[in-house]
Amino acid sequence: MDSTPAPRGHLANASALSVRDFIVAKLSSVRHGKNTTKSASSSFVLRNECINVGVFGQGESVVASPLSHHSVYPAMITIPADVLSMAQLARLRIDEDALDDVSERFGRTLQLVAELEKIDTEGVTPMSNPHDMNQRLRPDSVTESNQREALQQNAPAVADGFFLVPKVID
Amino acid sequence: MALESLTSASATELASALQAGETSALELTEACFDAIAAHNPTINAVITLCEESALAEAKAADLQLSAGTAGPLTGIPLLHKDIFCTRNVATTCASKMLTNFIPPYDATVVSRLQAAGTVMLGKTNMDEFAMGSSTETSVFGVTRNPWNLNCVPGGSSGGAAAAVAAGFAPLSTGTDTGGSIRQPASLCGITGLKPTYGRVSRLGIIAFASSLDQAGPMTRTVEDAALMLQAMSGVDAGDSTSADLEVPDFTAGLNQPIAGLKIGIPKEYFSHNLDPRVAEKIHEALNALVKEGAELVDIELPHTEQGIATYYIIAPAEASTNLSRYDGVRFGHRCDNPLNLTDLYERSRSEGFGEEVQRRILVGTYALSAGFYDAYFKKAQQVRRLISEDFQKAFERCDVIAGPAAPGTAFELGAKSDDPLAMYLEDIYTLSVNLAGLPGLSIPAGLIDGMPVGLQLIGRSFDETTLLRTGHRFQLCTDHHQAKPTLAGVNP
Amino acid sequence: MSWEVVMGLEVHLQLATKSKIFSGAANQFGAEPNVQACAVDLGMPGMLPVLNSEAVRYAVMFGLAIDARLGTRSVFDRKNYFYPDLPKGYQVSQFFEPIVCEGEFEIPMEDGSLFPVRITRAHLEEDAGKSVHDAYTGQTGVDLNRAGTPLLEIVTEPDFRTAAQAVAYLKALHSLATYLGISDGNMAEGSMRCDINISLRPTGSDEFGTRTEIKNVNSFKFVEKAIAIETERQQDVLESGGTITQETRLYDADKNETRAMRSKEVANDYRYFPEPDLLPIIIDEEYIDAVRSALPELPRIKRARFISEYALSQYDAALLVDTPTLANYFETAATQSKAPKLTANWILGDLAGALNRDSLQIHQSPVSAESLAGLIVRIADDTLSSKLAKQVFEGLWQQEGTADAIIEARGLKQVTDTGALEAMVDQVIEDHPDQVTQYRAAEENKQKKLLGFFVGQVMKASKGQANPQLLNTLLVAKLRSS
Repeated sequence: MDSTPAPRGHLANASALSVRDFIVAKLSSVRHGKNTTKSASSSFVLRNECINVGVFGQGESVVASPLSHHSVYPAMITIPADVLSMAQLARLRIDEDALDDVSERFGRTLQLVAELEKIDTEGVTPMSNPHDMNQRLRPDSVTESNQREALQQNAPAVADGFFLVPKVID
Repeated sequence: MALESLTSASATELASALQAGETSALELTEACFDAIAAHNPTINAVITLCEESALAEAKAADLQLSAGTAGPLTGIPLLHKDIFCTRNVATTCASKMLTNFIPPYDATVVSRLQAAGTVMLGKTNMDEFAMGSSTETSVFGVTRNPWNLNCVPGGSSGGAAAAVAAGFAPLSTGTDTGGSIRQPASLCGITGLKPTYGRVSRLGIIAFASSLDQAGPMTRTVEDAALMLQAMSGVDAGDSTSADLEVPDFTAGLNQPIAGLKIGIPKEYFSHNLDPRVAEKIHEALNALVKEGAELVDIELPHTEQGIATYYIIAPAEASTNLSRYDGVRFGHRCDNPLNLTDLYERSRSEGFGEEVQRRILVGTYALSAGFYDAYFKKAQQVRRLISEDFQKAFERCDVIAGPAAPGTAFELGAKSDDPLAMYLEDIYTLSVNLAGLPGLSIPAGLIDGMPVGLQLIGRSFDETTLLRTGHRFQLCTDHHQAKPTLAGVNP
Repeated sequence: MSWEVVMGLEVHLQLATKSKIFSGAANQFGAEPNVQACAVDLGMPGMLPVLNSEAVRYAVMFGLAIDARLGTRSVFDRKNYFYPDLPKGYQVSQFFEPIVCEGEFEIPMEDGSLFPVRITRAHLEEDAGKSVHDAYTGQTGVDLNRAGTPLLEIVTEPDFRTAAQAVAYLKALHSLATYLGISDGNMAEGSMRCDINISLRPTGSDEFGTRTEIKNVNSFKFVEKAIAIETERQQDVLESGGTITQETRLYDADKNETRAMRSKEVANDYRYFPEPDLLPIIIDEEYIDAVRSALPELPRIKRARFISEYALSQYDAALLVDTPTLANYFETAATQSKAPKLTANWILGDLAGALNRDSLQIHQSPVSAESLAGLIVRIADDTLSSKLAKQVFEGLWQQEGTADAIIEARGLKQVTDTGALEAMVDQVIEDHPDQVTQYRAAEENKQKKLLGFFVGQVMKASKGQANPQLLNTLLVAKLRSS
């Protein structure tokens, strides 16, 4: 996992630090790294490839090699373009003059997760829910009656029982 | 009953006074509204008041009391965190997104507590969509800590904690995704219980992170917490993740002694992250429990520090999709004159959500995105299992785990607002408990420079009983929970 | 260059449960907008899903019917994207661990062969709502009644090479769903919707070309047309040196063309992850056995039985087992008539033709299986010639009574009385001496042709009621003798 030399300096040291120290170290590393345009643009290309592939899963092969040979985290220095593509997926709009600030904080938050890299999780079953319970099944019966009027009280735009949105083109 | 004690007594004491006819639910409710009127303008713990319906509910409770059909919570005033849907009462999650949202339904917790005869006074302030540890991200402004108005009350259930501490209500509901009940309870000097995941229905609670969210009581005593948990608990056909287990009688065993109880002390909870003065208070508290016959055992929770990273992937990932429903179409904020569909989505959401919420949506989106799922989300879910296994191993050697609820006492307003990571550290001792789905209790353990410190007790899955018994024993042998902030006019 | 078409199909089958997959709202077609969309279906804040047991049972029934491996532990995932008809901003589906895994499905083809289709998977998911585009100026209306309707999405391997195979698969799937009673299969109402993944490659190549996905093709006829037009389009692109863009296209039935969907232009990253509001579905052996023992006789089993029990051809059997109603109709009629082959011919011939002419389904047939059997009996015992039988059938269609009553009332009984018929034959021979001479002088192979004249004359005299076989025998004997 640990073979990429230069940008990993902070992370390697971090294993010996407390979370607080680690975070402080991160802050300076990211502030520093923010202007490193070269690494930034390469991460942008990588990420865009993943996203353009579209369906989840098929994209894995694109990233699989950087993930398995070195760490994904060194390439993780965020730039506005990454933030913008996430914002587009999440349907959020980021003002141009706030972009740098948002990007920096976004990047700082993400750096936190480099902590996980230290943990060996080989063969560990992911845990989605705290309990080992099974899904309960509901009997197939109609229990709801028409509540349209009450439910549409909160709707910003309705007509003839329809919710209205700006014209959609298929 | 003296007017002063109406706003400082525990629910258990108030219930006895009501049963004995020493006061009425109406008098009690009015006393609470008076306290709110006097101090909420400075504290800003309550953001919606339901005076008319509360007075009606109080009168109905008084009828039950005189008819002899009252239960243990009949006529007890209560506040709900504004994350619980309340029928025909604004439910905002302290977000511009939901400022005008009035649900046509009650959360299961709300209807259960109403059925128990409580009187709903109103709704409390919180961090927007419960994302925060200071109640500073609310669209309704910050809530101040009643112990020091320049400090935060903690969060996200900061309004609830401040309200109970300030004498606005003996009971309030909270929700806890990473510490949102226990950390504000600690910072405001009250009792706060996060039950086992699945103990209390999530139906009608506005979701933050579905696999972590759990509602619980915020009260003045452990005894009250037991009483309130009793009313809140139990399987709900409408929540697939609520556990179909028999609910024990939480108050029955409260007075049992704790002799022989093994209390695990995780060394990771006493590292240099912790304010040494807090460590001292926790050690004093543990000594008090040892005097009651408990035995201390050293344990390890080796993945404690990774808990933060794990949590800050899983919680934002779940939140990023839970919050997709706020799109300006069926409810919630809608931007003016959208040009097209994308414009409607982007402007409604960017205008409606605050900065921290948007940041977490971005991070969560990233953690789930193609190619990064394995490195982020899946990895975090794997570490989550390791964290859960750490607790299981620890509980082979002890019955309860004890430590601090927060790394320090309440910090000043604005001190951490510009530094999300410093804010995230506030939850370092609480969020692993959510990741593992365990019950956690925070109880007052004394003051440092006049500011409260909370002792956290963590229990085995679905073993709130042992937690409550231990906490109650502590409150029988100490008086930290009786310390009250000085507010001009209420506690002179 | 010659091209091979490679196709895989994804079918969305709406399950005919009473309530929605995750809520207690009614699951019915055609209600006023949004009256069947409850708080859960609208994705209102705080609302949570609870899984409908019947949706699970239907999926398991389907899995057993195609001999698939069942996911004894299956998990719901969230598929995240924004669209007005998707209230929560995610669709609850099954991505990582579906309830039905690999299976195989044998499709009877017209030439009597069986075409095996490999099923990749079938998973449960919720349907989205509907958008109405034309009613409001500059606005789209959103109706979420359909949101939360249980769907079984059935995905095949890229096994199809012709439109005929694709259509035969869809028909067989439709038939199976009807048998199992898990869907009403009403394609016009969208109960069964098909997406076609289609690519071309040079004949002989074993690499796949770039595919396009044609969305929501909702009738068998349109499937054929869409495949034809998209094949043509891709071929044109490839032959003019272009490349196919991997994209989602919409089939426009009015213009008979496919076009790229604007709403799908931005490649989506669906960010699948396990739905934290639901827990894993665990199905054990006991459950599976209970579902299996309650399965109806499946089309392929019934088909095999019809072939062995009633000596039908593969093709006739396949047609007759298309729906349980038709198969039951056949079995009732065949049992009563004791002439299964003749019964099959009548059902697939005259009855099917009449139903088709009047746009009726088999369950609406004015001729009951019992009535038809009454007619077949009279054909089998020679009371009716096939010509007379058609008249009786008309009477049955008009509901004039039983076959026997119609024969009686219309006087359509075949003349089988040898004496009466002999008299008529004698008379005809006597009336046409020239033709008799001609016949007798003719060579044997010509005689057959000339015989027709005498048959016609006797039929005319008998008003068509002469038994043709008897008449033939008599005529040949008489013409030969004297």
